[in-house]
Amino acid sequence: MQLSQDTLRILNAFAMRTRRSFYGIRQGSHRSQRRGHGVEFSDFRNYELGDNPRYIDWNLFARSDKLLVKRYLEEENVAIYIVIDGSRSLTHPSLRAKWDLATHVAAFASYIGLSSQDPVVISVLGGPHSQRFWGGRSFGPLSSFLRQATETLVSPDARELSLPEEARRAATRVSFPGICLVISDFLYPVEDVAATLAAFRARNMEVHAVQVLGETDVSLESSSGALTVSDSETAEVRGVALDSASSARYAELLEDHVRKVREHCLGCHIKFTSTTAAGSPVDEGIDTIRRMGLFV
Amino acid sequence: MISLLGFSLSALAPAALVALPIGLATLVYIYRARGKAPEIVVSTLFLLRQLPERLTARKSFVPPLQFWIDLAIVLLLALAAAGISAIDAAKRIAIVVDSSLSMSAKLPSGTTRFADAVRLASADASSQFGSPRFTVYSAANSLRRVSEPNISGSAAASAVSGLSPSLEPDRLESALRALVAEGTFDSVWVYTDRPLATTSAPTPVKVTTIPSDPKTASNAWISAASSTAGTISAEVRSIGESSGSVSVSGECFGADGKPAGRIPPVSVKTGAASAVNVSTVQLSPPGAAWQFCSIEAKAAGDSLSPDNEAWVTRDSQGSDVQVMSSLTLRELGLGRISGYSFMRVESADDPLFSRSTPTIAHRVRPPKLLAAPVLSVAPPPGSLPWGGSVSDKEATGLAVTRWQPSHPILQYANPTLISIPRARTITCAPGAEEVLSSSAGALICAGVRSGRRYVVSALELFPFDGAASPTVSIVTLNALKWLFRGEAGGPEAGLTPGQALLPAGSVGLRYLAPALPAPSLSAEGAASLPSPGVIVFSPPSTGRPELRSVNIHAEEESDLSRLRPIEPPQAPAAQARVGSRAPLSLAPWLAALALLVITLDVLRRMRSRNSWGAR
Repeated sequence: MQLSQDTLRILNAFAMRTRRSFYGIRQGSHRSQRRGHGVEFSDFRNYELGDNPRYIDWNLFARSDKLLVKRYLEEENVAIYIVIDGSRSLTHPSLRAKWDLATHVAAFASYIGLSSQDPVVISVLGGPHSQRFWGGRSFGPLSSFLRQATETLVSPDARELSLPEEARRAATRVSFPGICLVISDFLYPVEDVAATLAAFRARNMEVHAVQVLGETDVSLESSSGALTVSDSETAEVRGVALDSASSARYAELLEDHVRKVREHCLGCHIKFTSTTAAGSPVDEGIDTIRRMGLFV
Repeated sequence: MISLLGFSLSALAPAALVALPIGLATLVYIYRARGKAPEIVVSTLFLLRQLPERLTARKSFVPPLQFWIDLAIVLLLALAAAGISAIDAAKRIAIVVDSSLSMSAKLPSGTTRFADAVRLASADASSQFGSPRFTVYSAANSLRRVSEPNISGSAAASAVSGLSPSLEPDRLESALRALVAEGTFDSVWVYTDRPLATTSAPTPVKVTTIPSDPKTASNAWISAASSTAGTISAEVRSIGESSGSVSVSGECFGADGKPAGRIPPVSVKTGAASAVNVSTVQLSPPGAAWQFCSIEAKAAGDSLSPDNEAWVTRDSQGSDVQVMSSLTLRELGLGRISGYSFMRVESADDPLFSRSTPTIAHRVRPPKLLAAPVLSVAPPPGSLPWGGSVSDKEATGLAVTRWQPSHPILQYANPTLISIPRARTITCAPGAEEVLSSSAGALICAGVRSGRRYVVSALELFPFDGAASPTVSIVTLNALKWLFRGEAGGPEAGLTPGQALLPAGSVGLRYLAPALPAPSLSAEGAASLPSPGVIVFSPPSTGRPELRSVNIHAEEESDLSRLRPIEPPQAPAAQARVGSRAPLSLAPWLAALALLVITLDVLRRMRSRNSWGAR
């Protein structure tokens, strides 16, 4: 995946902002739960043997005759886990636009994270899992991983995938809690969506859900008033009457489903963002990154 | 050939009709392929399962407007290429209502035979299925079409209801023969009081006979009336109940039409009721100022009243009949026939020859068409002036094989007894009746030309057996009676109602009595005389007004006890019947229609494209 200079310039302007603090692996730019010798004051604690006398607050000792030591917030990096739905609903060749947008969003988030020295791990549900990428120089290997995953997954073979199971399996690979970016179309029952997201929440991660829809998911059109549809995952064929009433009914069903997913995410403090692969994946990806609220 | 909506459709090139199923199948295939629901891959059927399913295998074909336009164009072009032509296959029926004098006879129910015939014809016409086309005719002395050709049943019933009876004798056989020979009609329905003769040959004629019992028929009529030397002689005939006693009376009028006195009634005892009774009555007109009289016969139970009346003009002399023959009148035996005055002329170049005088042409070529009846006896070989011809070869030992027993010429005659040692057979003119025929051809033909009767006989009607005592056959007398009856000077002096021929160039024709509108008169002398009476006219030869009586003297009509079976003509070949209807080629119309549809389609598309562009 080659990003143009303009795209890089736009992405360089973004920085990741987490709502929570995590324990990091290395020094970084995010506030950590770890207390230590940072710059920003955190609180006081009683002096204990072994503490460096330099951290004793003498002014406070003069007023209260107690030996208290100042504590400071540590700034560390935050692990970013990017989980992409690798089911046929995104990887089917006819639905390639959704996959392209999903990988672009993943790549953009990875680039922003790598730029701030945050470790990035990409897992494709039902597909390969990457190693942990570190530092800005790792964007090349990360792009190669995404390209190889695309070549592996985007094939016309049909297969069924249990996303909650795959999510639980991917969650076991998480070593450090951090940001979890789940990219999927979420066009399956809300219960399964909840189970998928819960697998990562159980690992104490700040989960962000990104819904990527295709044009055919948003609206079904046919000049003949009927449509023969084929399920990308099960290859099941079904004839659908597509008059104006049916089209309106489908739009209503889709809106209702998205609303339920959104309400579930809201109840679980999961940031939910929906996007449609209708144009250039670069532009759509940047727009999605901007609307997620994770990157500012 | 197939029938559709009353038309028989045929195709010049039926192979082109194969394009119809092929074109239809191709169009359906194209439109089904075009209208097939597109198949797309969707992420999941999770939501789509909640929409109503439309099974692709049961998807019905709902063709758009353009499909029907294309189909119409293919259909029209295929039919045009096949050369479709149509023939009106609706059954064509001629309704012939006998309107002769006998149809005016009353029935025991109080109605007339004619009213019953009209009622039956109307009911039949209006109750037919299959939408046949009717043409209504009225038949008496001639066949008259009284409706537009090929009208519907209800219109035919209406036309039949408007018919009225006439006072003329009927000539149904010749009328039916002419109708059937036309080949225009599939069937001819006849409503008459005459029965149908038994025949095994197929005939398109269906005769509906008005039920009447000839044994109980009752009628009295005046069969002849003449005036001689100031007295009036009337021949009264009667049948049935009317035969008991007949009262004859009359009224006379002056030359100006004013009454001149009444004739005292004379009662006549006629005799038995089992046959036709004939009585001659001498009447005494009042004074000497009368010029014409009206005579009336009254009898009990009379069924037919129009023939009870007769008109006679004063001092009508015997008939003037000119005889063209190399033999003398005595040799011919004509001198023994009373009631006629014969005058012999050598030829048509004779200064005494008149073109308006009844003529007997004996063994000479009959003169060109005359304004008078002609009896041509044993004419020489060659064509005849009325049409038809005389055979060059003289046949011997001929036997009569066919005759019309109802024809007046054969009245009281037994044709099987006629011996024919030698004769030149005749080919009758179109429209003429073959009264007597042999296996070699016709022997006696009778017809009407320009309103004048003529008889051509291959037989020698004057079989004189010597100048001393010549005899005249009953056939000769019948022929003379049928020919010259109603002509000037005959014993039944006067004209018969209907079309009559007066001397050409006559002027001032009008009814003197009764008071009727002046009849029409053509330059050729053809007068339309609707009713009995006395007419006055001025012939160009003298310029003086002449009186002429118009009388009903149709014995075959007045004699209600006589059954006159109708000999039905044979059906023509079906091919000839169909062939007489010209087929209408539909190919140019179909091609023009296809062109029109294409043009409208192009305009429709251009209009829709323009409106799309405007949007």
